[in-house]
Parts: sequence; structure tokens; C-alpha cells
Amino acid sequence: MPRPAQTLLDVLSAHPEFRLRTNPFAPLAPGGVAKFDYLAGSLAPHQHSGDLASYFDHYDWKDKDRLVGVGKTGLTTLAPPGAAAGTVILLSGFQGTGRKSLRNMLHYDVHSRFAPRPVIVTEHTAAIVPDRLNVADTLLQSFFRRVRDYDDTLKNKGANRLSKLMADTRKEWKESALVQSPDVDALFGYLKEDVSRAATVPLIVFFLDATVHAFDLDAWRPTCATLCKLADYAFVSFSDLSKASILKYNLATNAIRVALVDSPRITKAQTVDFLRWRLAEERTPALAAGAGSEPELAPFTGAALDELFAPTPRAPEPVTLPIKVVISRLDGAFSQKCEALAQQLAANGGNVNAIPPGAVRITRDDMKRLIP
Amino acid sequence: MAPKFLINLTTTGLGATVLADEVPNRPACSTVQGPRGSRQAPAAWTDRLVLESGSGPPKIIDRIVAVWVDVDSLSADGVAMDGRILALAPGERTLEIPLKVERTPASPFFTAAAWFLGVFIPAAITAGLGFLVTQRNAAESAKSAFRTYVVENSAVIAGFVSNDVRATLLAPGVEGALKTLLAVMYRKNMLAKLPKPESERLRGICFVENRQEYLALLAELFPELTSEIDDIRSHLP
Repeated sequence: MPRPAQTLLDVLSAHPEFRLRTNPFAPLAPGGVAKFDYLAGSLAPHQHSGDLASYFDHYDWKDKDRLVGVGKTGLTTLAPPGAAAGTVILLSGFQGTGRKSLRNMLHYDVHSRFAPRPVIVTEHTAAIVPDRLNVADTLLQSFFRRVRDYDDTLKNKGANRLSKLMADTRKEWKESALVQSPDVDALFGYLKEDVSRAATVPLIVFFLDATVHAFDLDAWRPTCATLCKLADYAFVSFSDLSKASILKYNLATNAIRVALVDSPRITKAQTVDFLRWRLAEERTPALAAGAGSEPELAPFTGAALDELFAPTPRAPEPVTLPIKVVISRLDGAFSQKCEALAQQLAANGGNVNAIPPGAVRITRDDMKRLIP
Repeated sequence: MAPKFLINLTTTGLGATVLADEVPNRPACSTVQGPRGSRQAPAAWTDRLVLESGSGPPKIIDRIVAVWVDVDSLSADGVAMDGRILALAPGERTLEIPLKVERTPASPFFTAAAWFLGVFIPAAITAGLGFLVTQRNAAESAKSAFRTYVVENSAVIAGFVSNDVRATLLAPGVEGALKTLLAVMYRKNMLAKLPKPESERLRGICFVENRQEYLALLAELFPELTSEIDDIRSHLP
């Protein structure tokens, strides 16, 4: 579905019921620069700070004392790193639910929250298997690359290079480690000591994603426990909330600091909240001030939302949908309506006031046409 | 007083056939059946019978003699005894009375019934007992193999119970917990080691997500871990 041209939206913004200056799902700033676009992919404030404004907090924060809330400046709360060991933060959610956007928000937040303290972020995607040595090796390979980048950025030379210090530590550990049962936890502890010797101690952050989604507690528990010896924060992504809950329980009973955030599918009530917020953000100023009697969701109607969340044989009540699907359908209905209005304007010579209020409303039938 | 006339009656070619002169409560026919199931002739029967006439002419002995044929001599259908009853009187020619005794062939139904009772049922019982013994041996063998597996993999099993089972059953908000544990048992190769009846029972329990039954079965399978399992049970929501 082609997006409505801004010129069309500029014209329609004068319509008493339409009253939107831009597409609420891919808004343009007054200069014509895109603020963000929900359909372009995950929000990434660590790369585009403008994305911060487009977060909708539908997340289920299971451990609010350690982690809660997304706002326009970052997370509301992120517990400071532990003195002795790091914190594992589990992120759960299936595709399209906003988990990746949350992960990116955390990426942004650790940088901004602890600034000017340097942060070494290692993003690692691998199979997490019970072979601890193998997993540790691949994790450290990724980590050492980021440490070298850190040294290069800070222009560390010679003995000041953290990467050199750590490489020596690793080599020494390998030479003295027991062949049959090398103590991987000890190695990560030694590396943490190396980090603490830096002039400005960097924050160590890992983002861990598994390529194999068969959940094995015997692989994940020791991996997380080992990571906590080195990292201040280890963010671990899962699809399935149940598996994340199992791992969280197991880590907590093994005295590891852990928190869990789920990225759930959203309900109709949450969709209404989301839409109300997005529309209010993009209303034309003069009309927004005197909007009083106009429905908050215009041009969307309640019936259109009912249709979006209508139960089906495969999806009985209560219907929930991934937020990406919801936004895609709202955006599709909006764009389709704009196209129809453009044709009407072309036919009536561009007279906005000649378009009846009913014609601008996005109805149940408009939504039905979008849902297969 | 005229002398009495004597006749000796005996049999030949008729096996252990015996004769009787006076049969108590004898019927008015020429044959008598012994008591059902009886294999021995009553005491009045004899293999040599002496009949005595009254005194004076005529030399007529008007008596009914019963013949008791030994059934053991006719053990199968179609077997016949072709013998004679001999009447011996002093000074007289020996009188031979031919007597053929043949066992009547049984009806097809009787034959089938006899085969069923005599051949099939014993064979079936033997086969059934053999099957049960084989089954029992197989079950014993599977249980023995499982016990060996438990002993040799005690660390894996203890880890499974104290980590996987505990976390999966006690963590809040876990959906399909027992199906998850079933998958873990499969990946750890524990399912393949279970005896078949326990394996099928486990699958049934996991399918209906009955956590209490699951823990009860685990305690049966791994009695060494009963206290750990009881502790998990005591924390179930």
C-alpha cells in the first residue's frame, strides 16, 4: 500500500475530522525529514536518537525494581551494576512484538545512563551448547574484537592496551588450565580484574542471541553464570516467555541477579491507547486545541478496531496481535483511505470542505479489506 | 432227583470283558451300563460265569447274561474287538457266540470339541504361559537395564530433577511445563531408557499436564531422589 503524499496530508489537515498534519505511523518533521517509520524495522535509538520518541510501552516488566519503563529519554529504571557480579536481563518476545526495539533501547540506555563512562558492547549470536569451553571461546572472540575497537578509539598504546592485557591473561590461563576441566569462570574473573585496572573502567555489556532455539538449561545456566563474572550487564534474548521464566528461576536460585521483560502481543485496549497517543502527537495545533467533541481516534472508528481484533476460528477471544501487525494494518487502512480521498479531491476540484465527514472515516469495511 | 445241568460262560478276543448273571436293578434290556465314569466292573461281574439249571428236564436255562466290555480296550473311534462268548457244557459241543464290539465314531462336533479340549486348550495354555513368561522376562530385563542406566547416569538425572524439573515446575507463568520437560528428557536420551509401560504413562501424564502425577512417577522412577522431588512438590503453586 503506497503511503499518502505529504501534499495530500497538508490539504487534508484542514478537514475538520481528519486534522492530521502527517502520517502518524511514519511522521515527517516540519522540514520534511522523517522522524521515524514503524514499518521500516525495529526502532534503534542507539543509531537514530529520534526513534526514542516513538516507543510505546506495552512491555511487561517482571522485575520493576531492576528494570522498568521506556520513555522519551530512555529507560525509567535500570538498576546499577552489581559490585561482585553482573546482572542478567532476559528479554522475551516473538517476532514482531517489539523485542528487538526494546533491546536497542537498552543498548542506547547503557550508553547514555553511564556516560561519560566508556561502554564495551559485545553483540554475540551463536549456538549456546553445553560445551562450556566452546561457548566461552566464541564469546571471548567477539569480546576481544570489541576491546580492540575500544583501545583504538581511546588510542591506548602498549601496556595501556586492554586487549593486550587480556590476551596475555587468556594465554596464561590456557597454559595453566587443567586439560580435562578448565575453569572457565576463573578466566572470566581474571579478565574482569584486567578491566578494573583501566584508568577509566569501562562498562562491559553483552547482548546474547541464540541461533539454536532448542532450550537447554544445562547450556544457558552456565553460560549466563560465566558471563556475569565479566559483564556488568548480560542481555539475553528469547522468543518464548516460558523458557525465559524457567531460566530466570534457575539463575535466581543460583544467586545470580536477574530480571525479565516480556514483549507481549497487544490487546485492543492497548491498541486504542497507542492510537490515541500517536494521533494526538500529529494533530494540527489549532484544531487539537479545540478538538473537544471530536472523537479521539478520528479518522479511525471503533468499528474498525473491532474488526482488527475480531475473533476467528484460529484466533478466539481475547484476540491479541503483535504490535508490528497492528501498526501495519492501521497504516494500511490509513494509506488506503488517503488514496480514496485523493481521488475525491481530484474529482471535486480540491475542495476539502466538500468531502463529507463520513468519507474520511476509516470504517469496519475499510479494515476488513486489509485483513486476509 | 435229576442232576442239575451246568453251563460255563466265558469270553475270548474281547479283552477284559466280564459277565454277570445277577445284576442288581438291571433294566429290561440285554445291556447294562456301569456307573458314569466307572472304569471297574462291580463285584458281581466275573470273567467266567457258571449257569445252573433247575433239577429235571427240560435242559433249559432261561437267564439273561449281561456283558461288561472293558472301555480301555476301545480307546479310539473305529477300533473293534471281534471275539466270542463261549458256552461250555459237560459232554456237549462248545457253543461259540460271535460278538463284535465296536466304538461308534463320534460326531464331527464331538470330534471338534474333543480336539478343542484335548489339543487346542492345552496348547493355548502352554503358549499363553510361554508368552507371559517371555513378557515378564522382557519387563524384568527392561527394568534392569533402566536401573543400570540410572546408576551410571546419576549426575545427569540429579541435575535434571534439581535444575530442569524444579525450575520448569516452580517458575511462574510457564505454559506447557510438562511438555517442555518431556522434550528435555528426550534430548537427554532419558525417554529411550524408560521401560515401555512407564514411558507410555509418562507421555499420558505430560499430555494432560498433571504435575502431581508427574512428580509421583518421577519418585517411582528415581527413588534415590525422593526427598528432592518431595521438596519440589511442596512448593508447587
